[in-house]
Amino acid sequence: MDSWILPLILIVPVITLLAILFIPKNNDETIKNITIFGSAISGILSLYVFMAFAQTRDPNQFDFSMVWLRNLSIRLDFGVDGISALMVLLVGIVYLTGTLISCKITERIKEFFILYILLIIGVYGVFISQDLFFFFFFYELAVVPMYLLIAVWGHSSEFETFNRTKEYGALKLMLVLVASSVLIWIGILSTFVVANQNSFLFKDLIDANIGNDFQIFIFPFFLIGFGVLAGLWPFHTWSPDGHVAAPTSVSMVHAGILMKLGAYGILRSIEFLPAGAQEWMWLLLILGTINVVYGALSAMAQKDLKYVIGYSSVSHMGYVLMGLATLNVIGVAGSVLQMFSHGIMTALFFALVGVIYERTHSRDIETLDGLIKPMGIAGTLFVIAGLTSLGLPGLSGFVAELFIFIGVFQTNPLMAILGVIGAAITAVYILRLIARIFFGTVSEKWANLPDISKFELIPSVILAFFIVFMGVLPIYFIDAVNESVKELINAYLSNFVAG
Amino acid sequence: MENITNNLTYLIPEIIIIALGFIIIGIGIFTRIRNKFILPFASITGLIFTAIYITFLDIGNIHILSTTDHNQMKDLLIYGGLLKLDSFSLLFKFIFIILGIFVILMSIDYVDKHVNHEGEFYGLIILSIAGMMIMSAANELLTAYIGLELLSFSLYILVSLGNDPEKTNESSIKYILLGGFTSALVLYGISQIYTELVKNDIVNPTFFSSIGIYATQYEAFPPLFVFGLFLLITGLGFKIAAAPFHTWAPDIYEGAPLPIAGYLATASKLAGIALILRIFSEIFEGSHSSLVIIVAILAILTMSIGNITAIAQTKYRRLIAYSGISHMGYILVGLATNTVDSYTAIILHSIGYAFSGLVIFGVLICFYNQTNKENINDLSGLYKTNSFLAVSITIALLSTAGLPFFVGFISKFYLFLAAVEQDLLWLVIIALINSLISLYYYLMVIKEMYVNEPDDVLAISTNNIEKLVLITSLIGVIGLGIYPDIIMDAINSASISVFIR
Repeated sequence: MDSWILPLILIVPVITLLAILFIPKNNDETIKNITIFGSAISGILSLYVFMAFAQTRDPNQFDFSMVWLRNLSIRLDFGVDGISALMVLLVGIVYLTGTLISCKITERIKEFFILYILLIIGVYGVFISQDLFFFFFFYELAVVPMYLLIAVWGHSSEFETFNRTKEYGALKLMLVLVASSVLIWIGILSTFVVANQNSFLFKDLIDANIGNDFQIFIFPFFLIGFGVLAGLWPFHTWSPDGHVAAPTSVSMVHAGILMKLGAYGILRSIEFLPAGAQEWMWLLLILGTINVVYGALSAMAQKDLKYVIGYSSVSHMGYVLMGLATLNVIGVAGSVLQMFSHGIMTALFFALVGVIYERTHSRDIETLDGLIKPMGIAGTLFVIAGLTSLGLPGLSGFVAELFIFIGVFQTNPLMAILGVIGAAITAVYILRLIARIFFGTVSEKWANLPDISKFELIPSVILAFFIVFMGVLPIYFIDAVNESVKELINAYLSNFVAG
Repeated sequence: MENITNNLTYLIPEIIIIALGFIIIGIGIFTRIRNKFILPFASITGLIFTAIYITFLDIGNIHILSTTDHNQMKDLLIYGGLLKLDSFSLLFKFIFIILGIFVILMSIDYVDKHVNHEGEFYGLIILSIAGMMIMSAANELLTAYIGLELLSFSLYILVSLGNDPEKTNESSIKYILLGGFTSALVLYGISQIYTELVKNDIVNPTFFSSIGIYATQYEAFPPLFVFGLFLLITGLGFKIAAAPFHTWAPDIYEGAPLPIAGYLATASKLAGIALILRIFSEIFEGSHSSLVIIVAILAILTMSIGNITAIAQTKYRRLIAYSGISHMGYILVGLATNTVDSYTAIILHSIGYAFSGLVIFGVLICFYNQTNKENINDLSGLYKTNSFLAVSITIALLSTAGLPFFVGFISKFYLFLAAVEQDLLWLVIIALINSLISLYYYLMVIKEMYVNEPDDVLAISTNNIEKLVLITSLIGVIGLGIYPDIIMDAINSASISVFIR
């Protein structure tokens, strides 16, 4: 049973997708129900994977392997360790909540869900693949549907001084991501050839002990290639534009999961390119810090609610990258926790922004005012997300950021101080944002807005639950992650002890 | 040497197909059949029978199509070595027949509306298949030339069969003149090579293997041989529309009947590839590095010119023509690599390219039949007018752009991996940048279909035959993308057999 659970995690969305494919177009209700049902099963499976892992902490318990292409000895090889188990849980949560949120879409819902599930299959696949080829296969797969999802169902930004069409956002996102994957192509192809193991499996690549010169040469390809998807400065501009143009649930998946693929990719490439990682981590640390500060400052300057959240994602991904760059246990563990925490938090943010936009048809923070009165529940949830974002103790963001700062202080105090300053700026813009749109004087225009509806409330509450749960009981998550991170870092360090 | 009647049994596929071609032409000329289905279905029945025959063909209990045993592959020469009956040729024959069947199926409505000579149309397609089969089996320059000419002459006529004289005349004259000219060059090149080989007392001077023997003797080739080789490359480059011999393709695609353009883009190019693989595997035997640079430069030119020019196109036929040109560039990357692996990758890539090409042309034929429109922005809102067509062409375009779930991803990965293994990383980087460019213009087409509104809300319908063709090809595109291992036996066997000496 256990070796089938990871394939099952992929198969369930595939079956859901096929089921939708064969339902005639106008049965919107049936399509919605099937997707919700499918995503609920996926969510439960993901939860099971994480909980089962947290119990045993055995990284081999779910291993599944089959030969896919004999010629290149590509294997379909699945497995999870603590890091990927947490990511699988994240995907499960965001998938389910995103589906529920999407139910208010009225236009071409069948096609929307097909592309959306394709995206989910891609991200699930990345996190459970233990084979570099499939890792990349699913990585690319996750990028493919984004273009249509944004270009067809997205929204253009129309301000007096600022116009961005959704097609622009979609095209920019797609081309930048595919351009960055060119770097990954180069990295994967040459790593395979140099490793000379005739295998794409991560563990074979780790055993290959690739020469140091080559590692130092090739690591930047992986670093930048994956970094672009993680919103690495200065390649981050696609990300806010993409977030803003995308429909709500796609923004949730995009900011919540897709950007984590990049960070996760860097994490995996540290494993088989330790010397390269050691050589280049200063760069990641500096760029990550710039991400934090620059992202926060940019967020402060935005007038569009969704752009604020978009830039805050860039800023928060900076913490993730800083944590990775420390290459010590506490920093990397913090980075993994931050991936999860930010994924949940930003999904909640985008869900609520969607709710607000739905009712007011405005995302301009100058005109939105006093929304807490008509939309009490939505406002409360937004405040929870905001407080997580600025790292309030008792909510998920605190533990993660604390770990990262401790880790960074151990390696480079200056960057840590800059990071903390970034967190302070975050507090400023988040509190200002909340004050402005929720707690100002209630304007006539917004006084009679309906509050959050059932289909929006359930997913938001699920997301908020995990934020609070992780804030109150961080040890449950830390324990699950810590051992795998320790293993990773020990393996990394052992490369240098041996010589 | 075996006796002729004995060998004749191995030629049954070719014989059936040539006979079928004449029968179809005969029916077309001498009878007055008004039903548009009779001729194509008669053709297809014959072709399917031949395809089945090839699939199960075995010699001395060896199933040629899937064997990877080197010893078994050695003695598959017939007619004193003029033709080679190895799994390479069988695989390509099979593919040509399948492509022929699909093209005929796609043409039915088009021929009914736009072509006056339907007997000749189907008959010549079948005869050209025979030409391609000879090309893929040829083990010798002159036999290859005969196959090439049989294919070319059929195509010259097919290109001119449309009933819109303004466009057809221009393109068919252009094609005949350019094609005839390159044929002459090829023949002259062959004669140069022949002369060189005879001077060096090599037996059977027109055999591919003799060229290989000759090539191994030299560090640097003598000028006359290089000149001959250059002419040969020109001719073959013309056939597959590799830059700088590509300029005919967009013009011909624009003027030829649309199914024939699809036929030129898929089957005819694959035949050229088959012949090129055969010849180059021998030539590369000897002085490898000097030729690698030439092929690599051709590859870069072909990819870049194809992709960059494609961005500026406003007519979909020209867009597809240029995108096809760029794909030949990727295949030349594999050719420059010249290993068993890269040949396997080339064959896989060609099959994937052919399948997605069929889908693209299938959709465009449906579209053109009902609207008579030729611009890319006429496709706007195709998703609203016929979602099936829009989805099909999107999948095909994404596959050609090399995105996963579709065969284009794995075949490109394979191709580039093989090249990197031979230290051609720089070439692969250029190829990757090119596929990024190609994604841009594919996305523009996709955007046109999904985001923009249709000009008129006239619904476009598809009949069952078109659906059958599209769905089957889509199964090929997606199925091979998800699990390519199912055809790897045949492809491996084919690419190994090219290198058997």
